[in-house]
Amino acid sequence: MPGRILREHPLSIDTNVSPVAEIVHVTSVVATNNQEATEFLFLHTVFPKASDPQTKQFRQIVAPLRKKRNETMLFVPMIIFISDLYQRPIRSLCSHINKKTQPSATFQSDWSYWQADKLRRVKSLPLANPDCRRLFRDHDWSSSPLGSMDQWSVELKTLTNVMLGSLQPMLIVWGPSQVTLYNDGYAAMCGNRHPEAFGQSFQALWHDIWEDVEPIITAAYRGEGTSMDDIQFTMYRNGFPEETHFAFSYTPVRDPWGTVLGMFCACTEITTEVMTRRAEKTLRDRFMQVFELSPGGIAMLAGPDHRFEYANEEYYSMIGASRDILGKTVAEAVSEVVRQGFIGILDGVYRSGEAFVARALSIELNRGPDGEMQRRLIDLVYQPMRNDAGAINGILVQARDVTELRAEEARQELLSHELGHRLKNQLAMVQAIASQTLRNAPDISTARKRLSERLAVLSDAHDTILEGGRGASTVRQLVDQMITLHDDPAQPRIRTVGPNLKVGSRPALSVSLILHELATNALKYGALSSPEGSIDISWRVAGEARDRFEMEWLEVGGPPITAPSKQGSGMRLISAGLNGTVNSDVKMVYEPDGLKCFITADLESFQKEH
Amino acid sequence: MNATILVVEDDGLIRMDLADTLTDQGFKVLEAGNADEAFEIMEQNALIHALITDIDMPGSMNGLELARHVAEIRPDCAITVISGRYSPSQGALPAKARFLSKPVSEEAVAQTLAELGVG
Repeated sequence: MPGRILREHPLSIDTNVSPVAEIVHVTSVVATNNQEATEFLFLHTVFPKASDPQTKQFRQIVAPLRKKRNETMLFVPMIIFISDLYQRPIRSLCSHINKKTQPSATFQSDWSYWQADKLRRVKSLPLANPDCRRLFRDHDWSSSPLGSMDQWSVELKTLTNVMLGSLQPMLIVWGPSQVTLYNDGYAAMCGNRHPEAFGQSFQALWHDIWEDVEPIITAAYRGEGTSMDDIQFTMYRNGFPEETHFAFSYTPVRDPWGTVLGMFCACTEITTEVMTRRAEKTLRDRFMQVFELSPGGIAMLAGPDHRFEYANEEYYSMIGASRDILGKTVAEAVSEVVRQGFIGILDGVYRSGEAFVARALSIELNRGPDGEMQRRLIDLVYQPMRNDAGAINGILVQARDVTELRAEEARQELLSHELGHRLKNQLAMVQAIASQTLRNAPDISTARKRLSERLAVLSDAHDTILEGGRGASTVRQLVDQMITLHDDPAQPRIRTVGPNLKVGSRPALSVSLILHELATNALKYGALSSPEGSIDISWRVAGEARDRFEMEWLEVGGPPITAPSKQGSGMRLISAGLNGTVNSDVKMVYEPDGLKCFITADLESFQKEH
Repeated sequence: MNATILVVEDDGLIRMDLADTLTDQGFKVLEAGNADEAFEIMEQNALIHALITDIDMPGSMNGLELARHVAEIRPDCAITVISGRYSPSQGALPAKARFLSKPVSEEAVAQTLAELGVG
């Protein structure tokens, strides 16, 4: 059931309560919400001008009445009027208003405000602070240091009315016993200490944080107010420790003679706001950390002139670590990109809202130790950034220096191609060895054995080449490899002498194969076939221009030999010479005391890596 | 009369085996280790029916250059280029020349020479 108006009538009062405004007219409206009746006062103000005849007339009318009044009494209604006339029901002030005074006819007509819509708003409003109103009404004040309510001082009554009319959390600490009075908003901040704390001492309420509170309340009782935007407490108001934050002001309340009667506090708990801000900051910090840890360069540009707002470490190292770019435009901070057209690209992204993406883009940056120009390859993305309204207000730059990566990719591609080439050549060589072996073998068993041995020699030679690194294998290594296979270290019969001479990969395979075929032949028919036989192997750089490689294989002490009537596969492999060399020659001399083999080749091609 | 084929290959083993293969197929084979040796042989032999040359070789010119040169001075000579490294485009080869990738099988060599009319 809707509320209704019980009574309404205009009142006239007569006081000047502010240097800038005067209360000149009051209307009293008594309304009910069908549960209780409430009187609402509607206050009117005028901003007087000294020259205004109506103001002068008004002053003459109210002057005699002002003398009877305590101006302090009307200070509070003035505050209420300014803050919100229609949401602040005032009951007790009625007693301070001269109801018998009739309004001036002049003011009645000029300032008539009676508007039905305002009244309707008043009628529908619930009473503020219902819980604490009930506590005030039901509390046994006779046993309180404050005494019964009708004996309260004007100051306490006024502040109580203000507090119970306010939606903001408010607190009154009154008297030497520091009795605590508060409204519903403050009650919520008391946790499970409400309602027991109502009417008790302030210290009893905040005993767990008294160390922090005591200096402030003591200062207020000394007459010193305190105002803080954020004070942090650890409270146990709900039975467990809680970090809490408050914005508050402690205002000393004095009587007309200046004695502090108590303290009035308007406060707001901002714990939620602080925690929200902290969570937002944590999230922001984490995002910033993500940017900082990003392996790529990241920068944020603001506005149509592309001004640096942020850049991570990697971005700095990419453009030149010593540059000072924040707050500057791209054109100012990285001026060398202007002539390369990057500002135009940024303008295009800002204008069109379409991202720009490029791979392995060539760019010149003055990033050297002394600011010298370097040409780099970068993967680059310009991404438009938008504000809450969807309008473009900046550009996110993501850049990655791929110069080394691309060079490595090119090198890998080359290596891959080279590997394919070598593999095919090796297959061709194996094909030739297999073909020669099969072509000249007396039977399949012999062919299988010889082919297996020759492929093993090739494999060992490959190991030598790979172990030493490409282009690092030596003639000595290849000779030692053969000796390991064919000589007895306890009774060595192969003597070697020669310099530490490098050999290219392709000739290395041929040298290994030839040495193997010569040793195999010596074991079967030559020097190593008898206990007295031995072999001298020597190699050197020869020629007047020292541009020839020479190697000699001299067998002595073996059985008498003669040149074979038909070349076997081994001799054919030897006579094929040194693979990959120029002017290569292999000469076999069958002397009675042993086989002599002379191998020569152009030195440069012998050592060249193909 | 058996056709004469000039084999130009710097790898002695592969050259020797290819020569043996062609000899087995009934051809007369001449061998050179590089382009310079090939020209010397060609000066001494007016009648060479086919050239089979590797591409990557030491010397004054590689096998492709040799093939193009031979195509000019001996237009009747059938040319086959072989390589394990390069795969030349058709435009890089002389007209009518063929390309074979290493390792080259006996059958591939025989078929290519037959297609070029060498027999």
